[in-house]
Amino acid sequence: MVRKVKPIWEALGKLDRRWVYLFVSLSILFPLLFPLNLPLTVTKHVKAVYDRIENLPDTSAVLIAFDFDPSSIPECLPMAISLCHHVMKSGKVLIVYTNFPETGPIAERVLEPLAAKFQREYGKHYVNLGFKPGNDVLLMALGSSWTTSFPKDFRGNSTQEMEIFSRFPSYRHLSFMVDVAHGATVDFYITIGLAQFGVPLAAGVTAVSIPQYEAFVQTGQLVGLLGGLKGAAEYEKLVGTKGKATRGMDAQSVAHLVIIFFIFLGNVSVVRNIILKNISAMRIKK
Amino acid sequence: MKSLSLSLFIIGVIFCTFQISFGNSISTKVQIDSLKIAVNNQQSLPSKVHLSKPEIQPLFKTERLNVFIFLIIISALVLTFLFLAKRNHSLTLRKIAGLDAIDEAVGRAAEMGRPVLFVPGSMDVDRIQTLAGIAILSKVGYECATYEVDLDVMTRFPLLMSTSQEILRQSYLTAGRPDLFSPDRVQYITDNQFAFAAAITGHMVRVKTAAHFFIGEFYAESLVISEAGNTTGAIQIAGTANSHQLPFFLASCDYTLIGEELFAASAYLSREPILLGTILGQDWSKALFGLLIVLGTLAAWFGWTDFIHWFQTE
Amino acid sequence: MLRFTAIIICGIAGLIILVEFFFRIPLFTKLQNGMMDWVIILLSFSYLMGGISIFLSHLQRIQRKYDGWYYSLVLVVCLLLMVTLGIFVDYGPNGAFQWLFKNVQNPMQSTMFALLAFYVSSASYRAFRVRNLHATLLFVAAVLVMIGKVPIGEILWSKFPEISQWILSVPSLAAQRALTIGAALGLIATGLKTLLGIERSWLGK
Repeated sequence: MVRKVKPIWEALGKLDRRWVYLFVSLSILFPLLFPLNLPLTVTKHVKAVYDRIENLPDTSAVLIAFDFDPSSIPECLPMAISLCHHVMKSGKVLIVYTNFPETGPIAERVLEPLAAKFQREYGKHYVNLGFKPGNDVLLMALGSSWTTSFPKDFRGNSTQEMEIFSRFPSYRHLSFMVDVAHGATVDFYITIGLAQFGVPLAAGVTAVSIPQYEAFVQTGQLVGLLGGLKGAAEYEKLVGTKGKATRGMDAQSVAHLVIIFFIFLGNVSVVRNIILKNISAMRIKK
Repeated sequence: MKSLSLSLFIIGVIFCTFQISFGNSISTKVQIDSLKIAVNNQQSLPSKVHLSKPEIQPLFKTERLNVFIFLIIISALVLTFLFLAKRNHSLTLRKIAGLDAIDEAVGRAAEMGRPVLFVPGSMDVDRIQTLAGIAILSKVGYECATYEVDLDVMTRFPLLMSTSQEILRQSYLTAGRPDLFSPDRVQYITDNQFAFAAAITGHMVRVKTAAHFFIGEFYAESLVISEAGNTTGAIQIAGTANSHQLPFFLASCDYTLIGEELFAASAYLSREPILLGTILGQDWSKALFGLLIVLGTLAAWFGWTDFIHWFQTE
Repeated sequence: MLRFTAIIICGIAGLIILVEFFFRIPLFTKLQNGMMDWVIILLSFSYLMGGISIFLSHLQRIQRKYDGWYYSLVLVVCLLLMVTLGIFVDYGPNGAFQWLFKNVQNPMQSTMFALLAFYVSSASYRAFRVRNLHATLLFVAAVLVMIGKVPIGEILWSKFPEISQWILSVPSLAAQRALTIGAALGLIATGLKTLLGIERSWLGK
């Protein structure tokens, strides 16, 4: 039996998706192995977050919520690291907690080396409260007190005796917070944390959530926005570190180009059909 | 399983009652805790803890006046049209392709002799989108019972699992086929977002489900499950009010309920005049917002700052 | 009767939250705080119920040798292993639980999230076809946003990031807001119907 061969333009429009996957994989892999060191410009949304933290008085407390789980570590963790780096370096008090059960240890791994680097004392300058279920309900309770909802921190220490909570007994006493999130948690920090407790906030979200939270930046409900790997890379640039986000930007650039290339490939047969249709229509008119 | 759920629920309620009766509520605890810390550490009292008589604040939270007024207006509009709809039964809704396609999807599964998969979002039962998804689950359950098609439901939260089981039990009963209902087909998977997505994709590929319903509140897992579902060739109907996930569903699914169409589902499917009336109330509210947007634009144009500031929340 | 009780509980709970949101009444604040504590406790118990439900349902699959029962076996073994390590062995940062978490669960979850990149590429390849004017506009916007959001876009043409940001901040956001307003109104109406007991689909009606 003779197998009918598809014309090339048709075949380009119906490529097996595995070809797309292969080329996307290669486009990510090669720039990671052989960096291109593409230049990066800091956008105003990211700069706004940096400036807000930088301009806070030294006596203020900042909350960084690690609201992501291991799935979104590649995008969210570099943001969380840079933000904690900035807060600790600038001498503000740092409180960390998470709405995800798996993220307490991740926060611990971020905080320990930074605390050693900037000589910050646990319980006085920073604390990792770990995880507690409840999401928005928990946040409402935190508006009254940290220690009631978190009688013990991630390390199992009693929070009642910590100096940090005598100075900043509840969520309402924070000067600023950043929610590094891969899900819907930002929403309740806006509706409860900002609207009810009056604590200004910014968000660090995965690239897929940028359009959703862009609206909140325009209305002023979010001070700024760190979006995806690029947002993380920009913050790394601001704090003067060269972390995983900066290294990942080359890969993301090439991957975007490859996807655009495939979108064009997919349109070859469509454009050809449109041209042929127009030509035949013109012939009929003549 | 039912008795286990019931006993756990009773234990939970006993704990809660104990907590309310004998424990200090969080709001009263905060002051006591703060005082204790201050006394223990021999420090001055935290700034927010006052021993003097507190300031008397007005009963109404005036900073929320604008929200209150809008809530009253929208509620009044919805309720007015709800009562008007009781008298006027001639209300019609435009066609919603995604909801009309439910019969087609279940019918196709019946022809193929394969199960239907329903995912009521990736949030818990306290979210309104999940409730809207559950309303559609009720209809899908009814159709599946009528056509004797197996229905698998995968949930991300245990409470949603219990709720879905009860909904389906009722649907199968209404369809006159309670014997076909199996609570084991409604599963709690895990509350972990991507493990949940992995379980769904694995199920679709292994079981080769013929129709997929992804209806409720979805986040980044939406594309993983819908694109994996697309590769199996099943008919897919999705619906969410999360605008940032809509492009993914539109690209990978056959039908998508967009935003408010999801909330209209209950009225559309039941055709109850009262529920249809509420949709009319929503439309009038939308017209009001349209007018306010125009006024807001004019206000920004002419610098009527007081008008603009009145709409700001706290 | 049971259904009527559920509607009454739902209505009262909703009313307490609403009143507390707008008014300063100590009784309602106390009631709301109490209810919040209830929710946290009930949620914790629901997880226990969920865990037992998973365990029993997969155990049943193994016993009855359902199709793919070996997947259930993997699940049950892993579940028991993690519970045992977490509760009875060592939960500390250097314990086996954390080791498994860091070296098994983390990479597996990251892999699932990374699949998004591949799915986005295949969905884009399939969806962005210039069949008509609307589809062409979508195609152009997608390409501009994608190229403007990475450093290489700026190298190619300095205006790409600006154009990309404009698309996100103006037309895209306008459409998003329209959708959000519509959805929010639907949300309020559904909430109202649920509180008043008009919408009963959540009770299986």
